[in-house]
Amino acid sequence: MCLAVPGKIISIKGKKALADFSGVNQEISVDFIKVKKNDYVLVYSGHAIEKVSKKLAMEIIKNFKSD
Amino acid sequence: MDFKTEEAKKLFLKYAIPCGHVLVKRGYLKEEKLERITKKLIENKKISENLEKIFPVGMRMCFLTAKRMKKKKIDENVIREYFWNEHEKAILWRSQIYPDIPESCKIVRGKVIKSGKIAKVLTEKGEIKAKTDFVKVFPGDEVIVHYDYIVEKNNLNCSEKR
Repeated sequence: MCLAVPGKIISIKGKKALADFSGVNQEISVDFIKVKKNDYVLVYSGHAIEKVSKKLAMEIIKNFKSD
Repeated sequence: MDFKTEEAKKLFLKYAIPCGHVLVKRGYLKEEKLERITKKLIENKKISENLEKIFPVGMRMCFLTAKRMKKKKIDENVIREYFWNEHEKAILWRSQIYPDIPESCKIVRGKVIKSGKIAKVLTEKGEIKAKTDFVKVFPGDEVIVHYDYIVEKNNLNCSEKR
C-alpha cells in the first residue's frame, strides 16, 4: 500500500492511459484492470492494479502529505 | 493465489512487516493486529491470518510476479524477485511523483559487524543499525535489510535458484 499511488484516469489508449497524480501527469499501463476516464486507480510501478473510490484516493494522498 | 509453503508465507511477512508500521501510521492497519502477527512470526508459530487483507498491494504484486515467473504458488524465489527487484522499481517510479520515500524503504545488502538485539550492519552506503527480531545473526553474516529490520541472511544459493 505504501508504494502504490492513487491517480485519476485522464485518457486511455489501448493498454496505456494518462493519469493525473496530484497535478503530475504520467503514462501508466492498464493491462491488469479495466478502467475508464475519470476512474481513480492505485498505481504501482507504473501499472494500475486496483480501482479505488475518489474518497479513498484522496485519503491516501492526504496521508502521503502528512507523513 | 496462495503461498507454496508456510516458510514462504513467513518470508513474505519478514519483508512486509517493516512496511506494516507505515500502514499503521496511515491508519490502514491496526497496531494490535501487526503486533499479533509479528509475535507469531518471532515465535515461529503458524500464521493463520489472510495476508491479502493485511498487505493487499504486496500480495497482489507477489501474485503478479508469480504469474510472470509461471508459478502457480508464491514461493520464496517469487518473494525475493518481488522485494529485490519489483519493489525497488516501484520506489523509483513513486519517487518521480512523490519524492518523499525514506531511504530505509529500499532493500539493502550488508555484512553484520556487531550482533545483538539491534545489529550493526555495514552496507555500501555506510554503517546502519538493524533490528534482529526475525533473524539471529553473527558478525560476518551477509544479510538483507528492509526498513531497519534484518529480514534474512543473504543466501546466494537462493538467488541462484531463480
